[in-house]
Amino acid sequence: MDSDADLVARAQQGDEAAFEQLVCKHQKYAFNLAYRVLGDYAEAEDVTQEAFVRAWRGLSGFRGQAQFTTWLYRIVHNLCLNRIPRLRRELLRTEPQEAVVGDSIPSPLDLLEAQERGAFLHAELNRLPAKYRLALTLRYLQDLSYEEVAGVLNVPMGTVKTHIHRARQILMERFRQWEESAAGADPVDLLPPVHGEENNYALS
Amino acid sequence: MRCLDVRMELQAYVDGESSLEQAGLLEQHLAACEACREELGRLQIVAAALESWPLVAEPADLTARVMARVRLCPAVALPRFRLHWDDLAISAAGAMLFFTVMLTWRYLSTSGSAQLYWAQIYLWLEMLQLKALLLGGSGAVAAAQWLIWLMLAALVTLAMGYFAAGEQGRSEFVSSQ
Ligand SMILES: [Zn+2]
Repeated sequence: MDSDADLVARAQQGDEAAFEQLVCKHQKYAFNLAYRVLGDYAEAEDVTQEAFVRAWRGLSGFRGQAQFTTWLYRIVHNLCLNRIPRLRRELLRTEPQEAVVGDSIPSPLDLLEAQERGAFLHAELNRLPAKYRLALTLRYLQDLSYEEVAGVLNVPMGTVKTHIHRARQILMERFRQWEESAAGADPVDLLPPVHGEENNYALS
Repeated sequence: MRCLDVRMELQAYVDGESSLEQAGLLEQHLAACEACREELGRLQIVAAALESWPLVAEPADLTARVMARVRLCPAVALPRFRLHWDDLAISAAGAMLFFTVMLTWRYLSTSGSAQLYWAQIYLWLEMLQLKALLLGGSGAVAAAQWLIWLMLAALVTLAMGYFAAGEQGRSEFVSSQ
């Protein structure tokens, strides 16, 4: 497959097929970024479409010092900010705060049924405030460095580190609570899936 | 190292961001402290959950929808309908001057046929100039625009000529054909 740089160069000459390849290659991550921030499937699709159209129109201004992906994520992020105006303020706030009710992604899993710890943690991830989902997604979805995440979000790098640290602390706390409640419950309902180490963990 | 210090440092350790010295101290403590080993285990599980956070499937026709919109706004802008207000104002001023002169002439003259010819020539020039200003460009679309514009210009010219020539001018024009 052609590299992003080649495809961008061709698309800048007006090559629609090259741009189509870029869309095909990056739509999954762009869409998931929007979905995790907005928590709404239809809105995420709107934002993703709009982001690519803006990327196409602004392609002549793309100089190639940045990765195409980080440039694209910045467009997605800015469109998300338009939809959630308070997110900008939230991103700049670094003091600890608890998750806001109603600020979560609808999870396909009912929490009562999320007894496998991976499923539990993924459900908890979806319940984190939008700013934490945003920072975590950028950091872990495509292994962006803290510096790159800060560039996409247009906030200081220290703020990104704080958000990611805080988000993991919240997850740790919830996981600890889950372990405690699991320890007190009927063990038959709580058997984790049977793969080696996890099984030993449950039996020990 | 105290447990509290270890807890502060564990995330950096899991991320591989601890210095060698720090990591050494941590490992010493971890070897001796079960509570901190459990904490490390939890952190690793959380880190694994972050790595395996499932993606949702994007809409199946997302690429097609994006490209449909992309094709509507070509990156290289084709000639499009554009108003040049300065030139338009000059054209309008010229046209008004012409009509004023023509109307004056109309009242001073007894015969309308000469007016009719002059009016036609001038209007054609004026309309062509406006066409160039309003719809500049090339290609099939621009050619079609030209055709429509010329037909429109012909109609307007005929109407203007008809009224400008007056009763006498019209009869003279008809008999001269
Ligand atoms: Zn300890």
